[in-house]
Amino acid sequence: MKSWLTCSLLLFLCTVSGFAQDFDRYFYFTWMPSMPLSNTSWIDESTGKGVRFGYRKLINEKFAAGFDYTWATYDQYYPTTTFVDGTRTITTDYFNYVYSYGLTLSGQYFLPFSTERVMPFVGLGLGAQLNRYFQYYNIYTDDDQVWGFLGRPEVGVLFPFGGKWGATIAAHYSFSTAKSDYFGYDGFNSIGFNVGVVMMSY
Amino acid sequence: MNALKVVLLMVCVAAMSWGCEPQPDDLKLFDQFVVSTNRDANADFGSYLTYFMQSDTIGLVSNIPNDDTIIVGSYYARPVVNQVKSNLNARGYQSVDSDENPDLAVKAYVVKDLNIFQDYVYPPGYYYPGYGYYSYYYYPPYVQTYAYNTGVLVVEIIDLKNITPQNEVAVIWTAHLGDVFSSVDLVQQTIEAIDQAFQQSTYITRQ
Repeated sequence: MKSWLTCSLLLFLCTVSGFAQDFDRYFYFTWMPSMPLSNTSWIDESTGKGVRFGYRKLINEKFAAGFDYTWATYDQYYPTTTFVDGTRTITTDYFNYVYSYGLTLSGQYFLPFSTERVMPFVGLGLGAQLNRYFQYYNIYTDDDQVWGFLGRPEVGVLFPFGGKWGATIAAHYSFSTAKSDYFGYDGFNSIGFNVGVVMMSY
Repeated sequence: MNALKVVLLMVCVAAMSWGCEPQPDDLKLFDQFVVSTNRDANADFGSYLTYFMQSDTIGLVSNIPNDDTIIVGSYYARPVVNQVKSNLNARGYQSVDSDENPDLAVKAYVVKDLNIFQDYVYPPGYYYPGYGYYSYYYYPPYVQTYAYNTGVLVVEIIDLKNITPQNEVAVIWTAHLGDVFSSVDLVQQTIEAIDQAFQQSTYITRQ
């Protein structure tokens, strides 16, 4: 957990300096807690292990476009369970993990009642998701890696502080077709929230 | 920042995030064995009464040239044997010496640094009728394919009551317990795993 946070913060600190551009662009980094909504018999626990990087270029006062990169780790521990398959029986405790990566082209529409300091928006991202499904038990691992379509509508608010910095909060729904036949996963849908900082220049 | 820099940045971000995948806690992963058992569906476990198992020796199958082929002594071999015997006795079977014509032979061995095997090939002459043939079961069988690559304790029950005219014997029950090289408390976890192997094999009983 610590290394994961360290990586994320390092990434952001390394990248913000390169984005000290004009007002018409901004870059953001958010913490992204998420909750799976589908196949919850495999994992139904929310996760705080998620972040999102985004880049936007303002097309005009109402629209911005860019892309987002997200990654999140979902995990759940299952206590000792016995599985029977014909004459074979296996007993173990185990962990289910989903490492989820998303890359989308995204657009934002700033609502008409936006102000200079409060800019509510609705947005939509379309792209691809890579899900790496892992099941850990003792030293053994079963895994499956799948790609799928990713659609992500969202609502949020951008808070320019004036000058270089700002903040953002948002909520999104992710629809993904990244299914795993191996684990009986027929897609991966989730909701997520974003709270973070924005690097911008006016 | 031009588009190329942005793309390069995102590639770096993706690469670093891949390397930051959290893993389960090792202590929680290794604090109990995976216990896998399989049986011969045609075996009638109620038809056997006696078994023989070496008292303080288990086998060692290893791909390390200098390794011995057996594990002896009170640290690991004896607790393993005692626990297997304890479970078999509790199910109504009787331990006898090798020269008392037992119905079953019970063999335990550790497979070290090999992949898990899917099949066993017993060398010709593995069973020698009439004299001292039980001692042959102390030696590991020829292993055909592998899947484990660290260490697993294997316990087998071999049918000596229904030996074929070609002197072939059948393994009617196997238990794979592991990983024995990544445990938190090797002996305790092994004992618990042996108990679990029998617990999930309720068909092993004289009744």
